[in-house]
Amino acid sequence: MRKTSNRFIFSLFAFILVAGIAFAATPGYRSSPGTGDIMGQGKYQSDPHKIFRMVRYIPRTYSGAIALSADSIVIWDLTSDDGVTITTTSTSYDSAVAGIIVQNALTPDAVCCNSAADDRGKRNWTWLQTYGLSQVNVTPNTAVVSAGAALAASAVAGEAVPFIGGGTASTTQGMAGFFYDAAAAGADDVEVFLNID
Amino acid sequence: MKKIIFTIIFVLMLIPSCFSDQLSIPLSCWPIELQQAFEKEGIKLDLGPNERTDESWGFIENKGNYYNLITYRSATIEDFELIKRISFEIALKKEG
Repeated sequence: MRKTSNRFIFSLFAFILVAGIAFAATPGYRSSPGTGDIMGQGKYQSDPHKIFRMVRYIPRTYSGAIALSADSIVIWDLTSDDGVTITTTSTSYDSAVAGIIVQNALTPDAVCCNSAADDRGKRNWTWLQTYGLSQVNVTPNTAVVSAGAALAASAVAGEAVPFIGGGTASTTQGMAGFFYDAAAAGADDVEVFLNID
Repeated sequence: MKKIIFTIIFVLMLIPSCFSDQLSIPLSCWPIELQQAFEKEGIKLDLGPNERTDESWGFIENKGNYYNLITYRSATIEDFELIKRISFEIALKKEG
C-alpha cells in the first residue's frame, strides 16, 4: 500500500514538472529571454513579473548632454510635471526617484523646452522599469553595498547608492527597492529589486 | 516526507505563472489598429486575456488615455523598439 502511494506521489510530481514547462508558452530559459538576457537574467523559469513604462528622457542640463546608458537610476522631472518625463538627479536619496532605465536614453532633438506631446515619435523615449528584478550601476562615492540595503539615487547622475536616511528633508526620502547582492563602490550591473509600482 | 513533496509540487505549480511583463504606454489606443499593426510584424497580440492561443505574444489592456501590453514572456529590446514605433505611428496618424 505504501509503495503504491509513493509511486502515485512521484508520478504526480513528474507530471506537474512536465506540465509546468509545457503550459508556459515560451519559457525564459528556452527562447526570447530578451531584456532578461541582457540584464543577466531570463534563463530560468523563476523569472519574475516586471513592469515597464514608456517614458520621455530630458537631460538635467542640455549643454554637453549625452545619452544616458541603460541601468541608470532616474527621477521624475519636476519641471515637466507630466508623469512621463524622466531625468537624472544630483540629490542623494531624491524623493522623486522613478526607477531604472533598461534601454539607452538618447538626448532630445530640440535644445530645450519641448513638452512630451511635442516630442511624440522623437528619439528621446525609452523604457523605465518600476517593478521587479533589475540591475543598476553603483556610484563610486559610497562604501561597500550590503545585500539587502535599501536602494536610492545618488548625487552622481544615473548611479545608485544605498539609502541610509535622508534626515528630516522631505525631498530626500526616496527609496526605490533594495540591493539583492553585496557590491563594491563603483560596481556596474548590480542586481537589485525595484518596488516602486 | 509527504509535506516536503507537496510543498515542492505547490511551488512548481506557481512558478510558471510568473513570466509576464507589463508594458505601460502613455498614449490612447485603438486596440484593433494595434492588433493589426503587430500582426504585420508577425506578432499575435490579443484584445484580451481570454483570446490566448499558443501563438499569442500578449494582450492589450485599454485604460483610456493609456494602455498596457501584458506579455506571456519577457519582452526583448526588439519588442521595446517595435512597440515604441507602432505606438507613435498610430497615435500620430490619428492626429493627421
